[in-house]
Amino acid sequence: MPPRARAFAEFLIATFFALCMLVVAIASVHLDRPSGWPTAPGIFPLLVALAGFIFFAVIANSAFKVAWCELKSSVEPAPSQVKPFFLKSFVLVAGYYLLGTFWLPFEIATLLFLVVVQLTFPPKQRVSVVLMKSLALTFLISVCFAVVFNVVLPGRFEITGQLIHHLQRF
Amino acid sequence: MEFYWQNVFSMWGLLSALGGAVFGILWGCLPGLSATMAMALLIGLTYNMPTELAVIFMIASYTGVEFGGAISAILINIPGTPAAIPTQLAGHPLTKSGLGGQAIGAAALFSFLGNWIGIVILIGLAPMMIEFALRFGSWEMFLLAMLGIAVSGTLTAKERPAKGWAMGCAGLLVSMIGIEGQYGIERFTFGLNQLNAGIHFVPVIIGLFGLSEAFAMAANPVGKTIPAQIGRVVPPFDSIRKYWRSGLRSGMIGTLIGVIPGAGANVASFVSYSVGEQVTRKNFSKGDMEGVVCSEVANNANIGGGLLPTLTLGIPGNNSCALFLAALGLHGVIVGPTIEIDQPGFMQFLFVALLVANLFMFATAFTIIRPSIRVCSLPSNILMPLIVILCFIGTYVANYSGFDVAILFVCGVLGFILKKHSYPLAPFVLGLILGPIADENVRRVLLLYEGQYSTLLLRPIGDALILAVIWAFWFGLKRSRRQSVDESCR
Repeated sequence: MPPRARAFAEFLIATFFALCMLVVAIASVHLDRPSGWPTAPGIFPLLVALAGFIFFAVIANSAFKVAWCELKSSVEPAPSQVKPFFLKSFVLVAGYYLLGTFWLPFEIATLLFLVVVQLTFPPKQRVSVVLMKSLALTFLISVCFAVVFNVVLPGRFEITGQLIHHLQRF
Repeated sequence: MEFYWQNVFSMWGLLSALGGAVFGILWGCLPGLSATMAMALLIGLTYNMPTELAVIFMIASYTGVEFGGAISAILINIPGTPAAIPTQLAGHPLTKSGLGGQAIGAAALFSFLGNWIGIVILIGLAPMMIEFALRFGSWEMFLLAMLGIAVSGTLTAKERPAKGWAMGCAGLLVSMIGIEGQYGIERFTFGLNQLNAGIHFVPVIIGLFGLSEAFAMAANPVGKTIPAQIGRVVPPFDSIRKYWRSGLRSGMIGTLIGVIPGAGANVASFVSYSVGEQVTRKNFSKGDMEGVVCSEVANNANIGGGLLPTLTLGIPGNNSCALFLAALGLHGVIVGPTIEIDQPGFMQFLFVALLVANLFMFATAFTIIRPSIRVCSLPSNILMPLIVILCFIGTYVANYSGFDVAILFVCGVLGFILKKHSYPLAPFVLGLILGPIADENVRRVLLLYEGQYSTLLLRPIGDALILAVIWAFWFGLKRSRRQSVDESCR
């Protein structure tokens, strides 16, 4: 990331957190105080939030100075190398967690996720290889956690757990 | 809950130690996956296991990860864990000259010895530390928690200590979300019923340390070149005689740094490496077995050192110990000055578990060095989704809650952004874990000493802790001032 963009991003992050601290400090003051300030539930959070606000404000201030210096001194900034991979990964992971928690069985969501990730990210492979790998990994993970760690897997309904249950009955 | 050290030698106990050691070594040798991340995931995954087996498994994994990081550092020039960076500097040139196998062998041997040094010091000092800690009242416990966060903030923030302290404050505040214990008043829930019980630390920690690493991996897919030949893995017979001085010195450094809250294995291995270079007057980065020894002994001795304040004071020595503490809390094991009364037999159980885990780590290390080279070569488009899936399961099984999965995702994204901008996460974790202790104790002090706060200054341990807190801030400010002079507008 070019220094100017980095400093600007840092300024934004620190300002955002400083504002959060301010909100928490105000919320702490408004908390009930059944027996006065010394035992008030908001006293310690208030002090911590004020300290946090100062620290984040200091960071924002120094980031702003750096960004300002860069702005004054710099020649034309080098074109930033945008890496779309992490944005893609945010979307893929959010989608997987949504599908895997609420809409699909864990096994199907995981299989889909593995296939899509391998097709999206380098190194590129043949679709059949990707499918085989994904199937094997999904099977391994599901059996390992359902049988070895004995946990209920996430998802709308259980496939591996039910399968094991039926196998045991059989 | 009572613990019996003999149970470590039960069939399941030994199997847990073996499984944990193998898991730890394989995890450690995967590039970028740290001990903290392993511990974060294991909190959820061992939740359904019996407490004793969960403790053995986690301790064995912790031991294994610290060694496992050396494998990829030496072979493929990518440190498996941050603590293995000095190992990489000294060890990878040895691989280029065909001595990679021996370097890994030496790393395994001296990791084993480093663990021994840490464990012996832990066993020797723990009773004294407990006796001392029993004199602590609420005021001292509050100050100790503050000291942990202040020191951690100062030591872990590379550029600006303010970042470390700010993260500590953020951790403290997150720990206070939910209904507080004294009056049952909701704090910072902002109308969300799911927050009434507070934010569970499992999704937060797994998100910050696990999922964020998966995002980082997706952002920077790194190609790896595995060497065709690594040579023999058994280190030369006379290596102990040759390097015992460096080993002992690094063991002491590693353990001592482990005791300092927030300063983990990475600090220990860097300090030990540079002290080693100064003492021996050698440049380890050209490839030197002694550099590998200094780094590996220190990061493994750090385990014992880190567990010392964790068990006796309830103040974690490093990130991994903080997560171990959190896992113990989930299993209902409360550590601290009264550990001998609350959990009879736990200390002895843990000492024996550490010794057995260390033996298994050593025994399995030589067996799985060659297969683990294959693990190192896993491409990031397999590794990244695997981490995402493990984070998902690890979070979900701790509470079976979809809300926790949402928190996991948010914390993963936040962790990725914060790490990218050099915000240290260790003070945040310390704040998260020490927040309830600090809040409860400070309010008790304010109530008990109402109107006579000046008498708090008559408590000598408290005074010493206040001075230590001031020193931690002063030290950080001094460093920060030097930094801002260097960075002044060009």
